[in-house]
Amino acid sequence: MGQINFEDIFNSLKQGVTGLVQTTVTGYATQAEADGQGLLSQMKANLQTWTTQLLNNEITQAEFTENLDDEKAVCQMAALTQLGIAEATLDNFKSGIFSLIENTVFGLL
Amino acid sequence: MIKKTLLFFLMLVLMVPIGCAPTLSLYDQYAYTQTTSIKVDVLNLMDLATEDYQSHVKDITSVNTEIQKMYEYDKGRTKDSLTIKQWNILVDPKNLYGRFLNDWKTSGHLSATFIGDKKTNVTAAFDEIVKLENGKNRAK
Repeated sequence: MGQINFEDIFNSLKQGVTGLVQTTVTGYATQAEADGQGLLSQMKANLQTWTTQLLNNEITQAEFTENLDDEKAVCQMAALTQLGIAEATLDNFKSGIFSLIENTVFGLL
Repeated sequence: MIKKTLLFFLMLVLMVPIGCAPTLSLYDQYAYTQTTSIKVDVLNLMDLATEDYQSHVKDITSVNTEIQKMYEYDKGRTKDSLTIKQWNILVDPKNLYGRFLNDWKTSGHLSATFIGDKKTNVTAAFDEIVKLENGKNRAK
């Protein structure tokens, strides 16, 4: 086994981590924003429908309020989904770091 | 140089048990399939709410049993607390499906318009459970 320069390994790892951030965490942030915008658009359409139904006496005020409560509950569930996907992404990222370390170190041997 | 190298490998060994274990359960095909199947059963059941609650008690029990089975299955998976929280919100008597059943039982029957509204939100709720499952990492 030849001489190993730790500083070279570490610099190589730092560059690799930057690459991983660009392909994992940054990708998630974009997705999260897109999901948030989608959720907002969905809420707007529902509110429009329920308001019309209320004005036409097709649903009661209590039912209108219940629909809003349900919408809030769905938002809570969506937040849990986002949290879970973030955790999965982070797990993937950590796993990627270990693969990177292994490949970098073994590549230098 | 040798000291630095040894320190580097020691760090690697220590990092694994300290903070690098997965924080979320892996994707489960059974959970995904069952959840989508239950979603269809729940939405079909909701359509029946224009009719008398008492005449559909058997159907309601059947669907609720399927949900309970799925809940217990998810509860048995490690690091699946987020999905469990989602199920809890869905069946909570104050929300979504749980509240829908209470409404149906209390009122005897519900209007088609209101059922349609409820179905929109219950559909979105199930979609969140499915989306979370689908977002989990696959076993390698």
